[in-house]
Amino acid sequence: MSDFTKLVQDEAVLLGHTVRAEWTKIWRRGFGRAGLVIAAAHGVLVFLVMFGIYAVGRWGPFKAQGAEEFDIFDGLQAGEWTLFSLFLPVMGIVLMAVIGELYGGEYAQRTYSLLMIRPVPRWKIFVSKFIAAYGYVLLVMLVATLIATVLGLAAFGGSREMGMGDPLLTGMAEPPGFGARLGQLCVTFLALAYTMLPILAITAMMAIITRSTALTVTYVIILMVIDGGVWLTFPWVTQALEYEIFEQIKPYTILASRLFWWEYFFNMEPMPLKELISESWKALLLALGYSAAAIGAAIAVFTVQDVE
Amino acid sequence: MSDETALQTVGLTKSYDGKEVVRDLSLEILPGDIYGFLGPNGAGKTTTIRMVLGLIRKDAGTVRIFGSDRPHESRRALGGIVETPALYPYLTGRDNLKVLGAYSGGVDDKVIDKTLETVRMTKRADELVKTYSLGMKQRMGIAQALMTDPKIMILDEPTNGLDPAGMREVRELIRELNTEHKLTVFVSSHLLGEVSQLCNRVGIIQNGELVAQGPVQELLSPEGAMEVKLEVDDVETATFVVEKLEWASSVGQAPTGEMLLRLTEDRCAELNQQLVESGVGVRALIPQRMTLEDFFIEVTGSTGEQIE
Repeated sequence: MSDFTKLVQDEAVLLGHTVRAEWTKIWRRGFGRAGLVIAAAHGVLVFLVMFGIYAVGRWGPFKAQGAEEFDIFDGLQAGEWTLFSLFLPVMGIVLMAVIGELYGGEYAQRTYSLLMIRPVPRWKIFVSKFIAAYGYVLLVMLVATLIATVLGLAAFGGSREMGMGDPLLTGMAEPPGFGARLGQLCVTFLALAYTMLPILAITAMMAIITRSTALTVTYVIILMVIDGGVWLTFPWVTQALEYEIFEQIKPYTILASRLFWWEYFFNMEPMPLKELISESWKALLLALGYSAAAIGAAIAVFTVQDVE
Repeated sequence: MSDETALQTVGLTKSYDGKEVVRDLSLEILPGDIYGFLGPNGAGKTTTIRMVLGLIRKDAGTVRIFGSDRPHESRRALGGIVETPALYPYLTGRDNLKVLGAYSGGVDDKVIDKTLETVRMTKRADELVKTYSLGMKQRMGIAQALMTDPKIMILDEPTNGLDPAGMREVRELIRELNTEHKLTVFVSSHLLGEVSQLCNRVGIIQNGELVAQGPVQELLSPEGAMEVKLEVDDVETATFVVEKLEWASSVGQAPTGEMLLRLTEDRCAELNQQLVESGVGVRALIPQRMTLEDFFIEVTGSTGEQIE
C-alpha cells in the first residue's frame, strides 16, 4: 500500500469516527427525534392541504363541472409539494436552529475546549460537524417527502395525465407517466438538497461568528429575507424607480438557484433540454459557490479564534 | 536543557485589550515531575494553560513538548482539563469518552473500561453526566484527558469546588497517574497546601510573570540549610560547642528563649551527639522548616490573603 493510499485510508477512518461522534450528539441531544417528528408532521400537513383542495374541488360547494374528473393530484406530487412549497420556510428554520446549536451550542456549554485539545486540526472538527449536519438535513427531507408521498399515493394513486414528465431524465421523449414523475420527484429532492447546502454553510458560519444559536437563526433569517427580497420586493422598486440593478442581481441570489427549478417545473412550456442543462449547472454552481465561500470563511474564523 | 524537558515554554506572552496578562513566561517541566503552577487568582495560570493546550493564541513565545514546537505533532502527548471540565451533559460518562475518543482516532471499548477504572467511575459510567457531582465530573475530566494516552497531563485547578474528601480523591488520583501511569503532571492551583502535598517542583506566577521556579526542597531550603530550634539545660556550654562547629552557626534566640541555629538537616543527629558528649542535656531539637506559604509570601510580597 502506497503512503498516499494509507494516508487517505487513515483520514477516511478518522472522518468516519468523528462524523459518527457528531451524529451521536445530534441524536442524544434529542434533535434527531424532534427533527423526524417535525418532518413527519410536515409531510402529513402537506398531504392534508392537498387533500383539502382535492376534496373541495370534488365534493365541496364550489364543485366544478365534471368534478368526478377532479384528479389534478397524484401521490408523487405530494412529495414534490413537500419539498417545493413549504420545506424551506417551515423546516428551514427548524434546521437552522439545530445546525446553529450544533456549532454555537458548544461555545455556551464550553465543550469546544474538549474537542480542541484532541490531536486533530480544527478544520477537521468543522468538517465533521458539517457532514453530520448535512446528513441530518437530508434525512429530515427524506422523511417528510416519503410520508407525504406514501399518503398521497394512497389517496390519489399513481401518475395523472396532468403530471409533467421530467425532461432532464427523459429528454422529453417519454410521455408523462409514473417513471417520469418519479424522476421529477428525485430531481426535486436533489435540487432542494443542494439548495440547503449554502443555507447550512451560512448558518454554520454565523454560529461560529456569533457563538449563539438565537443570533444565528435571527441573522440567517434576515439574510434569507434580504436574498428573497431581491425577488419579491425589488422588482416593484425596479418598476417604480426604473432602476434595474436588482434585475441584474437576481440571478446571483441564493434563491435563484432554487427558483430556477420552480420555474422549470411549473412552466407549462418546458425549456429546451440544452438550455435546461445549462441553467441547472448554473444553479448548482451558484449554490456550491455560496457554500464554498461560507464554509471557507467559517473555517478561517474557527481555526484562528480563541476558544474561551 | 530543552531536549530533557517534557514541557517547556519560552517567552510566552498574551495580552487582552492591550493589557499583558502573561509576560515573557518561561517554564520548564521535567519528565516525571508533578509540577505545581502556583499563583493568586488572576495571576495568569489559566491563560498560560490555555496557550499551552492551543485553546487560545499566544502573542509571542514558544511551547515545546518533548522538544517539538509543532502543535499537531505534539498535542498527542498532551491531555488536560481547563477549570471545571464541561462534558456533554446529555451523554453518559461512557458516551462522552467515546465521542471524545473518536477525535483521537477512535478508542477501543476496553481502553474506555480501563480508563473508567483508573478514575474509579466504572459504576456510574452509564449514567448521564448531568447527574454527576462536581467530583465525578473532575474525575471524568481526567478520564477524557487520558484517552489520547498522553505523556503529560495538564490539570487546571483540579480540586476547585470540591469538598475535602473529593480533594483527597483527586490528589490520590494525580499521584497514581504520576507513579503508576508514569505521567508527567502539570497542575495549577492557588491552594498552597495542596501543591505542597503533591508536587516535587513548582513555578510561581504573579501578575503574569514567573517569580520563582525549581524543586520544592531547593526553594524552601537553599543549599539544604534550615533553622533549628534548640532547647538545652546549659545554654553557655551549648553555645561554646556550637561555636566550634564549622557546619552550624547560631542565628539568635527564639522569643521563647530557645537557641536558634542554622545547619543542614542531615547534621541534626550529629549536633545532638556533640552536645550530649559535652554534657549538655538536650530537651528538644526542632527543625524550623520553611513552608511553601512562607516562601510564596516571601517571593510575591503577598499578604497571604490573596491565597488560601
